[in-house]
Amino acid sequence: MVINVCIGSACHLKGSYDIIKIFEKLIEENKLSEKLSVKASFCLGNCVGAVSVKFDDKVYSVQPDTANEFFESVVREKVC
Amino acid sequence: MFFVDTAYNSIIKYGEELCGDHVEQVNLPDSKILVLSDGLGSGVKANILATLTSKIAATMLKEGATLEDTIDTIVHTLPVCSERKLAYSTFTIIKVYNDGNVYTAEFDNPSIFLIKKGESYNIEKEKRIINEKIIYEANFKLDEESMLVAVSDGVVHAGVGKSLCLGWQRENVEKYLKEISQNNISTKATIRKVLHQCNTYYEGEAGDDTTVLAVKIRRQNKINLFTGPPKNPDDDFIIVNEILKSDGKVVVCGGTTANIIARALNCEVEIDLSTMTPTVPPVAVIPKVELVTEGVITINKAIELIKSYNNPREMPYILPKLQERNAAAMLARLLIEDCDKLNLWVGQAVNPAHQAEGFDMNFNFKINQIKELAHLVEEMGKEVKIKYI
Repeated sequence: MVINVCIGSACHLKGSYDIIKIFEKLIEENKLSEKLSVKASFCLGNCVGAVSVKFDDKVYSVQPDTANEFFESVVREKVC
Repeated sequence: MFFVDTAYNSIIKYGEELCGDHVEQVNLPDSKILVLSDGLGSGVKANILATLTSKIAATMLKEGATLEDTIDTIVHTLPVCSERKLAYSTFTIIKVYNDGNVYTAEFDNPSIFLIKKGESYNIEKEKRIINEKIIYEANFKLDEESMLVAVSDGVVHAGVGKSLCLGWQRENVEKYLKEISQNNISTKATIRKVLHQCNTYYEGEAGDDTTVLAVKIRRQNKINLFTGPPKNPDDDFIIVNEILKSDGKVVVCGGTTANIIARALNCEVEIDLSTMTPTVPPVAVIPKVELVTEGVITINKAIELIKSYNNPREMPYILPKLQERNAAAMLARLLIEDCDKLNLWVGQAVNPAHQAEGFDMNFNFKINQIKELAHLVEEMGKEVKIKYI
């Protein structure tokens, strides 16, 4: 599966870079690289809710300090 | 039709603040006029003489004045040096038309070099006497493989009193130009190499103002920079097609803009995360598009780079930054090195999220940013057109 992190202007300013780095770290720590990858994508059309993260066809609003929680609650159960 | 590619730069005489050589360039629709002038003496006096001479010549010739009138005006305008009782400044006038035709008029500067693929060619000149000055005029045609190089006497004398008793000398300058022109060399590289050589002979302490100017003709490099979605979404495909059909390379700045162009081309936007930095969002890849980046932030960073590049004092320090592998450096490099003409296709759709309070890069910011970019690219002597879509 893929986590798509928007790197459009608004999302970049709200912390896409950090979120990508957090997801990459979590995937490595949890040894999920065979099942899950992080990709960047241009504007997901949800700039108001920056940072937009698309996972399993749904767009979520994630901030750098909620990225861990998002990973645990939304991503983990789908992947594992 | 060709693009007239020019480059020039000077080394100031050691210990002086101002350069006593001056190059003035005028761009006309069908041609470019360059005037290289070397004022008597050095420092402020020489600088005033050279600046006046080249500005008068460039302005008058631009307006269609004859060479006689131009020289007459220069002679009667130049202030007379109180020590030498002379008003004197040399000049080399070069006018190159878009079709390759060239007119030159030379007065007391080292004569122009015509270099082509490792060979130096003689230019047939006619001697004329205007206001007791001996002027050499020539009319000839330049092809894509040739380059004209004009220098001030600081080049020919490079090294006098330092590493070379008699200076570099004309024959040796010619030999050097032949050497470096064996492979296709740009005007920018030519002047950089020659000036570097002079600086070496002068051991870093130039004994005279030293100027090199190079001109050649080549195909024009055009860039179509597409940023921001069109005002009316119904126009998206029409405009994308128009841009893709235009002559030159296509560059896309903006996430939504990139998505629009990818949709029109029926392909995916592949983002290259290896180019991501904490300050600049990564580049993406779309077939047929030279460079794809995020919008406002990347353009802002590129503007900072070009601004420093245009500032002679900051330029040397910015060169390594331009080589970095991030979207802003790539964009700036493209505009500096591979662009003669920039078409800006500026979408006027407003992103509601950017208007929100706390987001300081709103629509007005974007439009002003584009104007600033256009101004900076013009400052580099390139042609810019803005089209609002």
